[in-house]
Amino acid sequence: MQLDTLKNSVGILSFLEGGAVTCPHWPFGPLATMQAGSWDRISVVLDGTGQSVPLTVLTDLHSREYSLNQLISLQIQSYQGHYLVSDTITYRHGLGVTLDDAIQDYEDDLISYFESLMENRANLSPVLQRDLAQLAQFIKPR
Amino acid sequence: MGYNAREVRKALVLKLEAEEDRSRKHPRYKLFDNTGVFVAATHISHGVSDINDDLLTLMARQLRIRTSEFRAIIICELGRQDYLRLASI
Repeated sequence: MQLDTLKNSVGILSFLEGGAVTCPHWPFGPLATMQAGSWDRISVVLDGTGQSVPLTVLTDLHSREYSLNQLISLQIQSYQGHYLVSDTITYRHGLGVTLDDAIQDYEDDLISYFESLMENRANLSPVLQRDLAQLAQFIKPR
Repeated sequence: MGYNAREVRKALVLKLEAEEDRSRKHPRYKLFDNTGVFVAATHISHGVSDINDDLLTLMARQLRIRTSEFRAIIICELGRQDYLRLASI
């Protein structure tokens, strides 16, 4: 997914809080619909290809200690009457009755994982060293 | 095929000897190898009684193994040493 393109749209979407807009120039297809749910989250449904791919994009974290350097794109699935969100960076996930709950769970997982990696940075497996290097590009202290 | 969340927790804590952290809203599980190297971390969300394929796959990815390997751990076909070998590949 072209996050740079999406990032450029964030400023515009911020004015659409609670509303929906159809964007003819959306790069993922002419019928793509964007729903701006809050100031820091955007739900995107790509239906221009005939497929619906529910995504949400985190533009910031609710943490007092950490914020985001880059957007994180999350896939949304339904799971036993819950929302299940997950990333493809370090495979963190979150589950909740509402999408907000699921994202909060995801953020907890992400931050907890980042802190665990930081605490153990002298003793990380090569895979987790890569995870820490990647997450350090996304997460920064406030 | 799904598994009871308690079965999965048991596999993580008893079989893989994961360190359980219940200080947060949802319990976290950290896995270290025999020399103290941190190899993986996962969590089980509250409110989930059954862990089916989708969630099992996400947890397996966090554990750095395949879903089939995670299943084998849950049903006691694989143990901690097998896991450590698989996770290091």
